[in-house]
Amino acid sequence: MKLELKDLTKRYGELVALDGFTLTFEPGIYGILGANGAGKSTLMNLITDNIKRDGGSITFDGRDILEMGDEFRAVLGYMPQQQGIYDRMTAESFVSYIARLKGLRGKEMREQVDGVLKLTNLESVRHKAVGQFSGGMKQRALLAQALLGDPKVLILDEPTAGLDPRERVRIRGFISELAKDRIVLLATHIVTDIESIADKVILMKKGRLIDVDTPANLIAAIPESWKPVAYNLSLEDVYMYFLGD
Amino acid sequence: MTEWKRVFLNKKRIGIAVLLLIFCVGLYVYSLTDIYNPSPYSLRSTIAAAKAASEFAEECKDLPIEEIPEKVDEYLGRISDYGTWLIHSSDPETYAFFGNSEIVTAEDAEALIRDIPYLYGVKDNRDMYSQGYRAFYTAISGLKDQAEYLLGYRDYLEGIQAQAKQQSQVGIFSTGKGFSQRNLTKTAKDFEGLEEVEISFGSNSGVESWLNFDFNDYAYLIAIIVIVLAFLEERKKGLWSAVRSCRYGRLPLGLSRLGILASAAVGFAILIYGSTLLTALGINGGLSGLDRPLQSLESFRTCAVRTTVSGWILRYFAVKIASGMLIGLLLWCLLGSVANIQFSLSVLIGILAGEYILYEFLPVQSIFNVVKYFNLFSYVHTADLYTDYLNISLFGFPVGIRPLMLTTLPIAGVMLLVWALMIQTKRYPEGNKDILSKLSAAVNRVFDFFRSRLSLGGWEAYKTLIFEFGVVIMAVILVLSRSIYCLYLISEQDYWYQAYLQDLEGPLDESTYDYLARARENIKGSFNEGQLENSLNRIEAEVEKRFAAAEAGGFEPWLVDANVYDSCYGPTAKNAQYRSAALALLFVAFCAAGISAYERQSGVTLLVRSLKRGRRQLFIRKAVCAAATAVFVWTAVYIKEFFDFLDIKNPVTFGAPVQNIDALANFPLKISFGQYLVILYSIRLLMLIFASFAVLMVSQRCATLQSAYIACVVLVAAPALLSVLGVDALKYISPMVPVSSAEQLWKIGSGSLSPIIPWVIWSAVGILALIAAGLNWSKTGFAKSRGK
Repeated sequence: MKLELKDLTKRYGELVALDGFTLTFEPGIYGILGANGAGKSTLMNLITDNIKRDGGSITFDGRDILEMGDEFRAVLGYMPQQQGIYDRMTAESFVSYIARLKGLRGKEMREQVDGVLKLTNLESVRHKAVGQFSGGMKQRALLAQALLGDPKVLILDEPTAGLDPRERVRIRGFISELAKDRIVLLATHIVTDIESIADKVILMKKGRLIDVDTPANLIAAIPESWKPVAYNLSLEDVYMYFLGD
Repeated sequence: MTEWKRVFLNKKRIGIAVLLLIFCVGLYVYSLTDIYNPSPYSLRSTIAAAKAASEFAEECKDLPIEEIPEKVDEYLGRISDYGTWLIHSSDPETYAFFGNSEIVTAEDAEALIRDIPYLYGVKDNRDMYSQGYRAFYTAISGLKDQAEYLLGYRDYLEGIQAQAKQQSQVGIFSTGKGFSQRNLTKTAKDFEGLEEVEISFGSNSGVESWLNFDFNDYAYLIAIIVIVLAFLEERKKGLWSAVRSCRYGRLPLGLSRLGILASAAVGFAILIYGSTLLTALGINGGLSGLDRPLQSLESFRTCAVRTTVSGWILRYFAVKIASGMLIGLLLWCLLGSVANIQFSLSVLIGILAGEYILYEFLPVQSIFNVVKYFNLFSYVHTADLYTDYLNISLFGFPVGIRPLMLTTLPIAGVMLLVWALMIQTKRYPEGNKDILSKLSAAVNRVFDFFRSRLSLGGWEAYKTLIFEFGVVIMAVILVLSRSIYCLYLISEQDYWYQAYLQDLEGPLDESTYDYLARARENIKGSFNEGQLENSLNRIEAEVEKRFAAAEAGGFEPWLVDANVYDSCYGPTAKNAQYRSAALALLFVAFCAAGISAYERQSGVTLLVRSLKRGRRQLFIRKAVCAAATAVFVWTAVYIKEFFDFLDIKNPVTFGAPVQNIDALANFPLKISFGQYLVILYSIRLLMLIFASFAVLMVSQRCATLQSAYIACVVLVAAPALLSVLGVDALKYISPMVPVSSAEQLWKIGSGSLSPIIPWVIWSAVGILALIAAGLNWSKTGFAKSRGK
């Protein structure tokens, strides 16, 4: 299973949001690191076909995703960054509705709905309107819908934002488990999340791919001379070194 | 001051105030016109008639009241005689029968109306004169009714005293201890002395029409609700705790809000009631007659308050403002007590619906009638407190509903004021018991069982009905569509003609002539032989015309009641048909506006589009939902119209070849009238479906439900509505013509094919709108162009 991005380019007028981005994803967790405006959301919108690309290609197992259309969306799970949600639906209704949109039906659908609600710890509030949820609960509802339909490609934009530490650790652990036979793209500002679960870290700056490697290799790539004081380096230092001004 | 600015300078609230003002004045003026037979010149004729009536009233005010009915009859006789002359003078035989024998020349006829400028100005235009005649007849005959009321008022007062006296002498009442006897005694006492009030004749229609214009009350209620909801905005935006933690966030803010509510109650009363009162007085002869005793107006027959009309208006404004303040305080307290702001709208709807049901539907005789009158809506419709005299039983004692409500007003006001300030200062934003949430979760548990089994199409329908307020909009549509019907009138002169027509209706053959011959024999010697003979002559002429036309056109001759067709679907009903089409478009705009906008408002378009069935398949469901709303509107407006037609006319002529109706004499298809109706209604349905597709496309461009409603109404329905109100230029840029279809079909019936053009254009617009909306929803690049 391969998701290949080749020379992917996107411009908004004069601004180049993504500049010749090339990368091949294979099963595993990819953490995307970059400052605001680095092109993370554009990259995700291109993969979910929510914006039109200006150049390059995105193929899944050798076929262009635009050509695949519904077929590609059938293997896609997407959790957007904004907490856009049908406020007046209950958690169960919301997840059931999305399940319908994913083509699930009958017993299978109900089992999956129950499963993801349990997994995201929303079981006890499943009959409550989502509009009454806290930010963290809404985040979990969005994550729950992304997991429906056993997606092969999972795109998670800030999945742990607004969650308390216990929930974050739980969700992180769950994402790790999921990644065994899936491609998981994880964009977050919480560097520790990426550090603890990402197999590879993608560094992006001003629409360009700066580097992609394991957290350990990236940390090792920081030259000794850069270290301001003697302490154990972390991914935050990678961020500062590669992406800082 | 900041709070005042926040509430009053908010664009949304300013927009609502402007809209309410426009609606109040616009609908008030519209309510004066001939709404059952609208035409572009209804408004002009109504205003002219109102002016004429007020001038006529001014002329008559010094006359003895006994002479006024006669003077009115003379006036009405003149305008009626001219109408008969205008319609029948070209046919001397008919005119000799129906017309006034003293009116022989055109000059004689014109002399009848020379002193009535409007009617004289339209004397050569049959349609305009007929419309003017109806408006003048209604306005002037109202003066006769007024004179008759004034003549009978003293008898009415005496009747009250006599009844009280008489009942007190009847055994079961004579003890004076029961409610009925106490009520009669109190009523007699309340009306005692009113005989001395010198009621007089004058122009009443301004104040009376203003008084009966209920929409003002609802507009005022809406305005007060809007202000109260502004006080809860901080809760909705999650700023309640922050506001309360500010130095002036508790009592000072509460006091400031009290001031805002009071100002709003005054301001909106002046804006809403003042603007319509000025319009009413402007149209109906100004301030003249406002110094008369209140009981001079028939609406106040049962009012025991001694004041003048102007004195009552001032008192009414004062009560209105106090009532507005009270309603505002009550809603503020109730909504402020709801811990969970998500439920505030539901609570508000629940309160209003409950109170309205009690106010409107609880029988007067009910032992619980206290809650019918001691009700929020008694303060909404405050005029009823003056126009409906009523005593209710409180522990067997009669208490006037007006004094009761007016006494309660300041007491309840003070109590609510304290309660509102307590909520503002003492209620904690967090940690409250949320009973409604628990209740709602229990209800949701049941609903979720069904919702989780909905198909994708079922979900779209559910979203349209529940989340986009489709159920409420549809209920309103059903209520409003009850007021649309075709007016079928048989004039006295046509009575016998219609009777013969009814007998003969159906296929024509030789037996028709036998019937006519027998009928001629039967009428000999009858007291109205001339009238009957004239009717038979008209029938015979019609029969011969049908035979000749059928022979020339090669279809079966039928005698049909063309008047019924004409009144419902034909040229006479043209304006009514356009009004129905304009309303149908308005309904479609409201019903379908939310279908695409809801996703954008919820911020889920990106998510939904990333799902397997979130593009083409979801869009197809949305399009089907839009079409379904069109079917609903078509049923509410047009199928209802068809049933109204069936009420007037049984289906005896449905089999008649359509060419037997004059307006369709050259209709290119050889079909029956029933089949013609199928075509007419099918085209209307199709055109409404295309309209729903246009709404779907517009809705897709809107970020919120609110903007979608506005955009769809403005683009799809407003040109049609303005055209109905007389802005003729907009007729052809609105889809009203193709939706109405009747005029086009009868134009085709008269041999022209150009009327097909509006159908072709609107079909193309509908199909292109659907394709554009579909591509826009499914295409790549949505995020860039449409945002989230």
